[in-house]
This record gives sequence, structure tokens and C-alpha cells, in this order.
Amino acid sequence: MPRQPRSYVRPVEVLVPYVLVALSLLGGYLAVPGFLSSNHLSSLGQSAAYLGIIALGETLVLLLGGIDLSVPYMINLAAILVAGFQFSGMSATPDIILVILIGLGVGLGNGIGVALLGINPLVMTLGMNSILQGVALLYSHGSPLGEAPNAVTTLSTAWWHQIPDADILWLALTVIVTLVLAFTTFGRSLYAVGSNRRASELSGLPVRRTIVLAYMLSGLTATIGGLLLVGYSGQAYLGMGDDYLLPAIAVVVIGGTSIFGGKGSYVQTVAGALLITVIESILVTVNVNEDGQDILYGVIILAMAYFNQIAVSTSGIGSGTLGRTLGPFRGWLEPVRSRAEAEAALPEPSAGVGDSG
Amino acid sequence: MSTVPISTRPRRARRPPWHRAYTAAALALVLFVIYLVRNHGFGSIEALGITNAALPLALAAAGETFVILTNGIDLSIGSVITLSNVVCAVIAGNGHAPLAVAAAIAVGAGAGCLNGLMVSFARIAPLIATLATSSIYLGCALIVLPNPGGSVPGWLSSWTAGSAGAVPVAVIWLAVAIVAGWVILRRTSFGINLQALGGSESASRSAGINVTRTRILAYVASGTCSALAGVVLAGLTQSGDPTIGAVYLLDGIAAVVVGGTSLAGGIATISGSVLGAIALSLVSAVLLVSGLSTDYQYIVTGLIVIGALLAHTLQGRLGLRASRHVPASRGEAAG
Repeated sequence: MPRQPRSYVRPVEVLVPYVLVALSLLGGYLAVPGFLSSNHLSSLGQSAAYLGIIALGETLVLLLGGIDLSVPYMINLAAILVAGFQFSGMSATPDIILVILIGLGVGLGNGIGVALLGINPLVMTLGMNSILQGVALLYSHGSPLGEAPNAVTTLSTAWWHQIPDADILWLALTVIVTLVLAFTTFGRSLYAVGSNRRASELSGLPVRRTIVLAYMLSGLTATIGGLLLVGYSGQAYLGMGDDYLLPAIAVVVIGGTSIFGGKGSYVQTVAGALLITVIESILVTVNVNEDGQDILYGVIILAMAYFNQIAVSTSGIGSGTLGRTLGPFRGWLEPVRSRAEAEAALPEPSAGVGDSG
Repeated sequence: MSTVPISTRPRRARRPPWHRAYTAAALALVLFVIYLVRNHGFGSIEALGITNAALPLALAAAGETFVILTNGIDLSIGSVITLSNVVCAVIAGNGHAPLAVAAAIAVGAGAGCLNGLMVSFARIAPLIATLATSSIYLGCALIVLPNPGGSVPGWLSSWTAGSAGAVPVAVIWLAVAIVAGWVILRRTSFGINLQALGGSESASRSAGINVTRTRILAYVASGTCSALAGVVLAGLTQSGDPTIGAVYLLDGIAAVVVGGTSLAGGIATISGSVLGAIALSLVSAVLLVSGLSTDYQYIVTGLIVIGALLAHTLQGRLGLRASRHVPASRGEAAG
């Protein structure tokens, strides 16, 4: 019988973001009349589904210790292409299949660059984003044509009773991804590579294949996100993915997945997407301007990152947490020791870029 | 009787990694030659256009270099440029131009300081900390100036975007940036500490370097440089714009990468980043005179960035000109 691998996911860390979602829903209920009406909840769920599905690939790549910055123009290109192919007379099924294949192909390109050529993922996907932007501009000549195929619009905006179709898709993807992460070789390898790539290589894990596959899945989910967004707005426009670059990463971080890889889960990202969507909705309905939203957004990311950082640096959330929270400031509280000694006694700060080489 | 003079100057740790800046220099030169051939000449108007486009990017890239040198990253440069740009334009619009420049630079330095504190004391990963503060600074910029507006006096424009005879002022500033970058990185204790910190944090700590202060100062330097870029842009456009900085985030990192700075930290030249910024600015100029759509600019830039990093990675692997072995740390090859 194989030994049970150590847990990469701690129940309490999964629970915390969901508790925050519940609290923010409660806050919305108190602040905005009709916030918990079934119609509003359904439309919240629909928006959260777009964000959550886009962040799925980013979760996998971050678990690996990588990053995917090509998400914005992956989304935009998928949206422009699916509408453009429709305009040039392609029927819905080959249209959608072709766009999805292109998304997988771009992800493959990212994966090959990172895994086989050894290019830093930040730069590889940054460059890829620039290339995709150029392709999107050249293809559309600055003004995208066509409309989303009906199937895409239905998937994106239709509701089955009170449940948006997009949420059914999201739920299905969540279940699949969670099972894949927990039970397949690919899923286990993803955590292993994210924890320690060298050790994974020496253990004979298919490291390169895992990396390539993760980036392909990131291309796939960004493409699906692009399809959903074009289905929602009906037409494609340039820059429609720009608003998703930072949220896609932020949602993963807010959920508690470590950007250093090897720790976290997609279930946490789901909570992150729900939390951000609910809070944004509250802010919009109580008439907080874009400036206030931006500031609060940043504060939430900082707060959650700090919380997660504490959760990572201690062995859990328990009685010792407060003392360790004071860790960085203990040097100031203890006058006996010199500053240098106090600093030397502290653990290494996690000050590297996720995984930049 | 004579005493042996004891040099108090510290020995230089190693030769500066100039070879990594050659790629950017060669690229800029090639693009410039193509430009000359295509455009059948090069006058002061063309020089003005190219250097004015390059200067803000070069400043942003120079600032980012300090942070990347510490094995960090600053994703807030775009928002800091925007914030200092609108602060400068709004205060200058009320008739206090010198105060406006000072305030813009102070805001940039303060923003950088906050980034440094988040990274050093809250111990949040630089990527996340600066991602979050980027959102906060953008929100602040929107409060200061929700729509494009403000104004800048003529002297500020001529100081940043004008010409001194046939020579664009921006050329002088680019040269100043290169020299100042060299002095700061190679001739100050801050620069030496910074390189040590990027090379090995624990070794720097053991050597008695105040790691926390050095790291915070790197972020302050980045914020200050971004603020200078924001002021230059205010001079260039003669107004403030709350969307102006967005493009400089990714382009700034791209220029640093083309300039040969290692994303693993410890190896960087400011001149490389400045040359990288000039090279990236030349791309659109070359496309324009070649009669190609500037949409190709994004594709070419993307290929250049990936190609440049690939070249540096291969250079490191083959050990070409490498003055020391660069370990393939977790990053250089990992997922």
C-alpha cells in the first residue's frame, strides 16, 4: 500500500476564505437592501464564475511555482477570434474548437519556453502576452468584427432556473480540478514540482511534462474565460482582458495559494473569486467610486497575503500565532539584543519573486 | 624611511557584468542602423521623437533594475508613474511648478518606501505586495485627478522634452541616468550592498550588511525613478493623465530583461536597462519608417524579450564570458 503523501492543503486555510465570503455576504445584506435576493445572488455567481474559471489556470501555474502573465491577451484573442471566425462564416462548433485549440497551442508555447528552454516564466509569458496583443491587433485591424456564437452566449448568460449555466460549468470544472489535483499523477507531480523541482527530477517525476501541461491548461481556461466574456458582452473589443491580469493572480493569492508553489488548492481560489466579486458588488451598490475600489482592492490583497504569510511561517493558526506575528517587530521590543542579532535570529524573509530565475 | 600606504578603498568585488549589457547595446545599434537606412538620414526631429519616447521608459527601467537586483520585483512602477504624473500636473496647474516636481518625487519615494516596508517587515512576497500597492496608488491617482487635465509650465516641458540646440534634452538625461546608475551601483556602499544582497542574502547578513535597510532603499530608488518618469511625462504631454503609466509596467520589466539584468538578482547594470529601453523605443520607430503597421511592434517586442532572455540563459549555461558561475537557482529554470 502506498504511503499517504503529506497534505498540501490545510482545512483551516480553506475554511478562512469561505468564512470571509460568508461575512462579506452578511455585510452586503446589512448594507444593501435586497443583496441576498435570488436574482442578485445568481448574477453575482455568474460574475464570479468568469473570474474563477480564468483564475483556474493561474492557480495550477502558481502551484507549480510559475506565473502566467499572458492571460489578458489570451482572453482577448479568444474573444476576438471566436467572433471573427463567426463573422467570416464559420459555424459554431468548428469555430469554438479551433479557438480552444489555439488557446492550448499558446499554452504549449509558454510551457515549452519555460520547461524546455529554461526561460523565466515571468518573462516568457510577458513576451507571449505582447505577441498575442500584436496578433489580436493585426487580426482585428483595431476594430473586432462579428458576434459571439449562440452556443457561447447561452453558456455565458443563460440561467437554469436560478442557477447560471456559467456556474454549472464552474462547479463541474472545480470538481474535476480538485479530483485531478488530489488523485492523478499530474496533480501530485504539480505539488511536488512546486515544492522542490530538483527533488522531483531526481525522483523521476515527469517534471517537464507536468510544467508544459499546466501552462496548456492555463491557456485553455483563459480561452474559456474569453469565450464566456465575449458571450456576455455579445461582441469582442480590444483590451477586454486587461482587467483580468491582476485579479487572476490576486484571487489565487487571496484564496491562500502560495506564489512560491507547492501549497494551496483550487477550492481556495474559488473562495477568493467569490470574495472579490461580493466585495466589488457591495462597493458598486453603495456608490464607492473606482478610486475607492482600487484602494480597497489593494488593501484586501495585502491583508490576505499577510494573513497567509503568517499561516505559512507558523505551523498553523494556533495560540503561538500572536507571538510569531510580532516576529518582525520583536527586534524593536527587546532592547537587550542588538538589532543585528535580532535580525539574524529571524527566519529568512520570503523576499524572492515567486520563482523568477 | 617610508611607510607602506594602506589603501582605505575597498577592493572591487568583481568586474561589472558589462557583457550582459552588450546584447542591449548591439540590439539598439542594429535597430538604429536599420532606421538610418530606411529613413535615409537622421535629423534633430527624429532624434527628439525617439529619445523623448525612450526617456520615461529608461527611467522606469532603471528604477526597476534596483529592485530586480535584490531578487525582488516591483509591479507598482506603472501606478507610481501615474500618481506622480497627476500630482505634478495638478500642483503645477495651480501655479507652483517647483513644488510640484518636489512633491511628485516625494510621493514616488514614499510609495517606494511603503513597498519596501511591506516586503521587509510584513514579509509579503514582492510580487504580491507591489501588485496590491499598485492598485492602491492607482486609486490615489484617480482621487487626485479623475480625468486627464492639469497643466505644466513651459520651462518644465523644455527641461524634459525640449532641445538644447540640435541635441534633445532627453539625450542629456539618458546620459546622466547611465552615469548616475554606474556611480550608485559601483561607487556607493548602497550599491555594493545591493549587489551583495542580490547575490546571497544570508551571506550579506553574515557580512554585517543591513539587509532590511538596503532592500527598502532599493524600493525607494525604484519609486523615485518612476516618479522622475512621471514628471518627464508631465513635461512631455504638458498635462496629467490617470492612465499614462499603465504601459510602463510591462515595458519597463521588458527593458530590464533586454538590458541583461538577471531575474535571479545580483547581476545588473543600469546602462543595460537604459540601452534596453532605447532599443525597445527604436522598435516602433523602425516599424514606422519601414511602412509596417505599428501593431507588429507588440510581436517584435515580445520576441525580442523572450529572445534576449534565452540568449542570456544560454550564455550562462555555456559559461561564455561568465565571470562567475551563476547557479541555476530555483528560478532560472523552474516552472
